[in-house]
Amino acid sequence: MSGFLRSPRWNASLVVGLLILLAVLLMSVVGGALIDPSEAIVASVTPSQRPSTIYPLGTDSQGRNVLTMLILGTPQTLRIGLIAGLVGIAIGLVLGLLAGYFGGAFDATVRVMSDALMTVPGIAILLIIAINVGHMTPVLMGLTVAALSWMYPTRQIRAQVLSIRERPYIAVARANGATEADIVFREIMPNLLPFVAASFVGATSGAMLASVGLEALGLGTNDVHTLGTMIYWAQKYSAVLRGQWWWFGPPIGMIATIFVGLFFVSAGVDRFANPRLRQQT
Amino acid sequence: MSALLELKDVTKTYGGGGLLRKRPAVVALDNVSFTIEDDNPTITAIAGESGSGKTTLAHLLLGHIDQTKGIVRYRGQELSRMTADERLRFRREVQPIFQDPFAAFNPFYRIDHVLTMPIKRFKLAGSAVEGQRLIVEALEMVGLRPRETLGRFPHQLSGGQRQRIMVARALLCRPRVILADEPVSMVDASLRATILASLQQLNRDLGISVIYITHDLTTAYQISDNIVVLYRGSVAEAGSAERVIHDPKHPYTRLLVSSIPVPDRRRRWTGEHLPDTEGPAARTSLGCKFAARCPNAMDMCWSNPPPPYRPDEHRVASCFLHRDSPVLESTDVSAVFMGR
Amino acid sequence: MTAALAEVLRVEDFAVHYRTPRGPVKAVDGVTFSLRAGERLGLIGESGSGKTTMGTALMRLHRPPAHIVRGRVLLNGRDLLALSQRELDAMRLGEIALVPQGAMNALNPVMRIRDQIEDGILAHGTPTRQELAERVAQALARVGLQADLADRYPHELSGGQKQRVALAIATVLNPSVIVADEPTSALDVVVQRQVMLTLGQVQQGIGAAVILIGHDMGLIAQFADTVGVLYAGKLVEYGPIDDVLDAPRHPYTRMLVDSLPSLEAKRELRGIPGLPPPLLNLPPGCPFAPRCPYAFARCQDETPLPQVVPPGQRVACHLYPTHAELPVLP
Repeated sequence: MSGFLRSPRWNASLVVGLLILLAVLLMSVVGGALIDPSEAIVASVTPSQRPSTIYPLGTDSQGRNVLTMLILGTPQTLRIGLIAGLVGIAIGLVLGLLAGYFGGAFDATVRVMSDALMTVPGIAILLIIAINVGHMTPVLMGLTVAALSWMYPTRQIRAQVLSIRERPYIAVARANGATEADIVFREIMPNLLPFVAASFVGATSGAMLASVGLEALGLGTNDVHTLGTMIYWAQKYSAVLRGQWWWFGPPIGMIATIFVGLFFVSAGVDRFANPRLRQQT
Repeated sequence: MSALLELKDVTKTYGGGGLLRKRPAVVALDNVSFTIEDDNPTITAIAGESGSGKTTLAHLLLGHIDQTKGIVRYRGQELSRMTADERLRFRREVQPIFQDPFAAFNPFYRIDHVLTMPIKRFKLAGSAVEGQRLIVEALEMVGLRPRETLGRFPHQLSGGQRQRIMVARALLCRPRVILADEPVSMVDASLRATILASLQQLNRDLGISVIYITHDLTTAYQISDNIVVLYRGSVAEAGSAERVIHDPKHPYTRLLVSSIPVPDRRRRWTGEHLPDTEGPAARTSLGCKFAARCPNAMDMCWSNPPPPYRPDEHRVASCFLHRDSPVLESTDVSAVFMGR
Repeated sequence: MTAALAEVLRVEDFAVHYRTPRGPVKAVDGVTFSLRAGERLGLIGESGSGKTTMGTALMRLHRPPAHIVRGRVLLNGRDLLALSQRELDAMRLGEIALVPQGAMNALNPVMRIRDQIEDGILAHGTPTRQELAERVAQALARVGLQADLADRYPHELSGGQKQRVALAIATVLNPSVIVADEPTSALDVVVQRQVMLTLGQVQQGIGAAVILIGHDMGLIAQFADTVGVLYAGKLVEYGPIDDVLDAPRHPYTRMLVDSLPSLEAKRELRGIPGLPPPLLNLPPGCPFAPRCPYAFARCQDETPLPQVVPPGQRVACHLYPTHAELPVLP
């Protein structure tokens, strides 16, 4: 482990990104212990208050503490992104591995499906799914968004498998008596991890953005706060027109921060995983 | 005299198909037959330039690809019809050594991985301790020190060390045949001799047949008993290494041998200007594939491919220069091979 | 007469190091030699000898983390290492040209051959269209290729043809020195001979000197007049090819020559035991000492300096001048 931590493959981008995300997480955790969740319920506090010492981020026109909503909502948005990212990667890994290694009709099917879905406007699909979900929860939102987050990882991983499959060490493994399962899971899969990591970050970011979009349109969760639902309520009650910047500002700022963090991590992971992209020392 | 590994009238064609338009077919290997005997472990070199079909031949012998025509058999059983057990035995007994000593290792694992897997999969040892002993033995047999190699990652070792580990891996499986595809071309000159010497040792001491695939006729001459010279998928010449190199009968072999740069004051490069190589005529010719480049080409060379003539007991040459000699009865060129 | 003996290149105490997080890797460590017009020098070395670094660094075509630490490279009297970028660009191709390893893969796949040759010509002058066409045809003819090849793309050519095109581009401006780094490494032995003979013809035609960098002693023996043996970044032996092959003075050269397989007779194959030293934190003394059968105490402490040993070699070995030649091995 210490060797891993001291590896020269760490780079500024990766570290900065991870620190940002860590800060966001800490804020949620620490904040969660300090706030009173009842203040996020409608009409629990004086409405439309500007930021002050009692309400550091003010209150919204429905009588809810903005800071409380932010602290409750951030981890939910992260959770949605994570669920979608993980599901997307899991599907991508399985489909990409099997399609890339075995080829044939299965591969053709996977390719056609993922290519077709990639070209369809995602928001249309998501809308259809979201409208038809009865009671939306963060987990369901995560799964909904995952419907669109598996294609790119599948393609990426499949491409890698196609390349790895031809490497001499696969032939050596065969000569060593490896079974097909050995080759797929013991020889190829470990070498996919760097690409999986990179794809994961991309999938998570995309998923979060998609979920925020759906939520902002009003298709999000009803009873659980997320960053996207905050934006929805703010927009619905004309916070912009009313100049209540403390209501729509913080969720946007938090989303932006998370994205900046994810962006840096993604750039850093690429360089961590792929030695050829590393800077010349 | 039973056959261990045999190729019978094997042809391999690539391309030629295509849904909407026909892709040009390339005949990588053209009706080649040869046999490795069970009771007579020799070192056979398959020599040829790029495009000669030697790599295709290697893949066919290892069972990596299927032939278009002909039969590939191991211990009398066709590769495509083997049971799982027979297949596993084939895998164990016919071992490869590849050209690139770095790419042959999975970068995720230490080098031990490539040595422990065959012990597990082929059940070569009864216990972990015995397995370890076999590994240490194999490493020492190729001149490596286990303490300096085990536990390391591939990038921590030199190319020569990595290739020697590959040889150790091959012999660990207790094979009957080792197929070495350009095993030393990516290794330093000073280490080549060591690795090739260990292949010779395996042949001598453990009775393992070696098929040495290379473009380097000098090393082929040094370690092989017999050489098969391939040209664009066909056997141009085959026979005892000594004779093929010192008294080549086929113009292509002569061209190859005379082109070898020898570190000798007696210069071999005479400076004649050779005809420019790939002309389109050569590809569509019905006759001898070498006719377009051959200094001895006659009219008959363009209309018919020459059959395998047998100018002496231990030689086959597919060239009309030898049309007065008898034709080889079967297409199996190993009939002219010399035993040790 | 005198022109044939004029010195075109003089390399003095040339050193190139690679900066790594763990210290400098001394890829080229103080190499000195000179070339006359028309001379063919072969630099032979195995992996880790520094020969490829040398080839590119001589013309300052090396990239970080490699950097030139010290030395002078005098081309026709001017020190390449002291020139400005513009002056250097003018010297390159015009006076010294590089045929890099895998040159045939360095041809631009989307440009016709003609355009690639013209690039070099146009970078150093403004000929008329007529002159340009003539020079392209001339450059191709010089390497034994027909003029109509100029309108083709690289993928339509064979490996040997591509290599000869690379040669044509390198020599189109008649440089004084051609540096060829493993020019035939991916080529068949028949095509290799063709390309090397072409190189020789071109070189003689323009009176250039050639530095051939490689690991194939046979190739160097067939082509070069002089040979320099590189080991761990140092030139351990240097002299006329005949002398070095007949009577190698340095133990490494001797063992290298002995390890070469012969086409004459079958004999026991001998390699050089051990490994070349890592170039990072090289211990003091002779770099070959750990593998040298002749090594003695002084070899571990003191790095040997090159000295002249009859008949005409320069050797870096402590055995000299005490011994006249290498003692017989047991």
